[in-house]
Amino acid sequence: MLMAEESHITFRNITKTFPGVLALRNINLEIKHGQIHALLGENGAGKSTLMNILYGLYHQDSGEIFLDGEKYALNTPKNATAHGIGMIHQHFMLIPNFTILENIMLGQTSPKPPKLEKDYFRKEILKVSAKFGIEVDLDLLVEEVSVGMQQKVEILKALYKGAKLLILDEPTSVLTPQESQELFKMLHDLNNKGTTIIFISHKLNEVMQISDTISVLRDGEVVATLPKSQTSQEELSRLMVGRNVNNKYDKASEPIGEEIFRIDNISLHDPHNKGRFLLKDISIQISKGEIVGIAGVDQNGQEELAEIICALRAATFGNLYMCRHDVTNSTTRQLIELGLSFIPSDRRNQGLVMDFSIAENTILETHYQKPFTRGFSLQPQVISDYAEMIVKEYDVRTPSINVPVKNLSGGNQQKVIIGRELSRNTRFLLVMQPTMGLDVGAIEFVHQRLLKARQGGMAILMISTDLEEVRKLSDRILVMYEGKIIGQADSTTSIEKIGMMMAGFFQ
Amino acid sequence: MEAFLMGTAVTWLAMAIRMSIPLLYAGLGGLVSQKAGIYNFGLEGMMLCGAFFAYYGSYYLGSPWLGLILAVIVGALLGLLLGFTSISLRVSQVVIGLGIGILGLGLTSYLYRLLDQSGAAHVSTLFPIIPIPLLSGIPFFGEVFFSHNFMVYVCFGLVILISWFFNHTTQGLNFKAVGENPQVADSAGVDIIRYRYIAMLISGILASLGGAFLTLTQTALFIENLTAGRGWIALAAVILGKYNAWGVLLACFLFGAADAAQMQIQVMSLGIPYQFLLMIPYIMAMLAMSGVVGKVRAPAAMGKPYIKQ
Repeated sequence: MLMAEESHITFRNITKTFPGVLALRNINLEIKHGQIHALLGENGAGKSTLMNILYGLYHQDSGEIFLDGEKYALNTPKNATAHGIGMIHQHFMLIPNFTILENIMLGQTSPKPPKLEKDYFRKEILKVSAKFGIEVDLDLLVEEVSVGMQQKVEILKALYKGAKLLILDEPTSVLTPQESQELFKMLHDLNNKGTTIIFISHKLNEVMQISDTISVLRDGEVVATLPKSQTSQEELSRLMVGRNVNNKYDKASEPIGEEIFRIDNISLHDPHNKGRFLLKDISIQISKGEIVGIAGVDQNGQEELAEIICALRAATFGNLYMCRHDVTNSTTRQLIELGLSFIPSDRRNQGLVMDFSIAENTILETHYQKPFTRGFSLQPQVISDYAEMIVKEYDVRTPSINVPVKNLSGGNQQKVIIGRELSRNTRFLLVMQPTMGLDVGAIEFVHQRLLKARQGGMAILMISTDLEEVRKLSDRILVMYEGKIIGQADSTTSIEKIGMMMAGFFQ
Repeated sequence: MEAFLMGTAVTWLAMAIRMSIPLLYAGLGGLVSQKAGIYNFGLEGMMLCGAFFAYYGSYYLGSPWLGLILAVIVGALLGLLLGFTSISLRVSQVVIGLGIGILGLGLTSYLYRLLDQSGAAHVSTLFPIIPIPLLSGIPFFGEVFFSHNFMVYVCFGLVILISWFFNHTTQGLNFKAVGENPQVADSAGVDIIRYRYIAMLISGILASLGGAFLTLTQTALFIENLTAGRGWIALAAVILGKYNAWGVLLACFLFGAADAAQMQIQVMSLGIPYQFLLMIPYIMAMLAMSGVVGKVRAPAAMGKPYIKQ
């Protein structure tokens, strides 16, 4: 038995870049034997990247990994399994129409090749499941069992393959609260039996509940490693979010006008896990001349809410009202005609047709209307004049309006979208992640445009995971967590407090 | 009268089996490739090439065995062609499959015309019928099931072998995993690319044997477009058979029985226009494809090339 204080995994100076992004910068981290070690951080902080390197899905650009004090050089998934490292991904690596038994035994060497010898494997797997107290019915198809059970199967599979170190990547993100508590109990049991556990999460309360040691990552760096006993949720939240807060924009305070859009008690079932809600009782009212910001860590229901507002997805319960009309069952086109504009987070897939020219992209949602279409035919001259206007007005840097948008930089693509969405008769603007991946200059430009639109009397709902952005632009801030609005704030609320709400810690 | 009905039934069923064997060879070929996640839309072209080269081998080289070997080689090459383009080059499997169909039709028609300039029929040697001792003596069943050429028996053997392989061997499980979710299979240490190439090799050979069966045991002749869409019916049989070797057997038998029935009805001259009867197998194939058999679940990764991260 190894001493608890001995190092299981040590990362030395790990650096990893993806095209254009420095994902990990000089990471030094030690994971000790027999601990539950949490990696806490916002999206994009580098937690998953670091673990994917350990498991061998990615390779570091530089730096070294040590396993039990010895250099672990050949990091591939196969070698990780051979060295007792198991990883439970967010998306389970299971085949739905195979039985649980078949899923676990896949790739194992049969004692009597070429025969499958299911009975032999059944006995062997049951031994492991008895040892760790994980009960599963091996003969059920994976698709027949709950998501929580599928996760158990993944854990059992890793243990059966001899995992001494389990990496769990955001394991509770697909679970109901009850299933999460069961998972924690199981992880504690495994830990007591000597399994080292690395737990990736952005939820403060979970991390405080389960871990022995917590490392906080931010922008690809480890900013602190603390024993749980010597830290608090407040400190962790500050470490996790804590970047310098820029000065606020000068916002002329306009009198808030009439209500433009109302989200009334919207709920949405998780199609993959019955009994779980992706959205629960969301009610928001957005009025003329205000920006309502929704803060929250990615994957907490923002995408689904945006899709419901734009009629790309139907809510399970609840109603939507726009300009006093009930638009719950309206189509996207009807909403656009009523004055909806949408700036999506995924500009390449949802915002633009990449192979179309700038001119074609500027009329995407209104191409069938006058003056762009007369009778059956598009009006090329009108369209190119319009596109020229947008390119000039929104400072799109391009040699010509006939260039396919895929040839533009991300910032210029975003300008095309914003130009298109703000240049029509918009009354309600839904905007998601407006500045993701943009450089500083472009960010400033986008922010100014949004403020100008607000000034002009537009009602704006902004969904962003960039807390700084939400604080700078919003008149009111709502915090979303696990599909619920769990708190209200405004630009005077401290960043720590909002950060804690984003991580699910609230009164 | 009773003896006449009995005789008709025996003739019909024995003919149904003979009609279903080429479909079954090609259907098993389609099954193997689809289990590994690759559409074999080239079945028709592969069958046609198999039929031609088997005929060529049998007539010009003088032995049906040489024809059979030639058909195996040609089938293997066509299978590898589809494999290389879809697995390694990641070209659309539909496009390549259709391309092989067109290639098969054009190539065999062209080569046949080069050979046959006199217009006279060149009849090749057929594989003999081998009645199985004792079993073939059983009234009714003996004649229906046990009085065929060896390719029929081999084909039934293949159904048993393939079914056993998929359900009772480690490699069979790996094979299915490759077609369901290559990422998962890869992370479990299964060599995706190797399995897919092997699948295409076997698929090509089986489809080609389906064509060879026609010229080596039935027609003794080659004509343009001899297979007349049997490759497509075989593809339908894979779906109707719910991606299961025994299911494919049943589906092929059903199509074969329909084909045999229309032939017999023609002979009996019941006054039904034969064009309607000719339609029967094709209509059944369309019904099969349109989901009358209920929900059929194809391997989940079908048609998608695998790109290792």
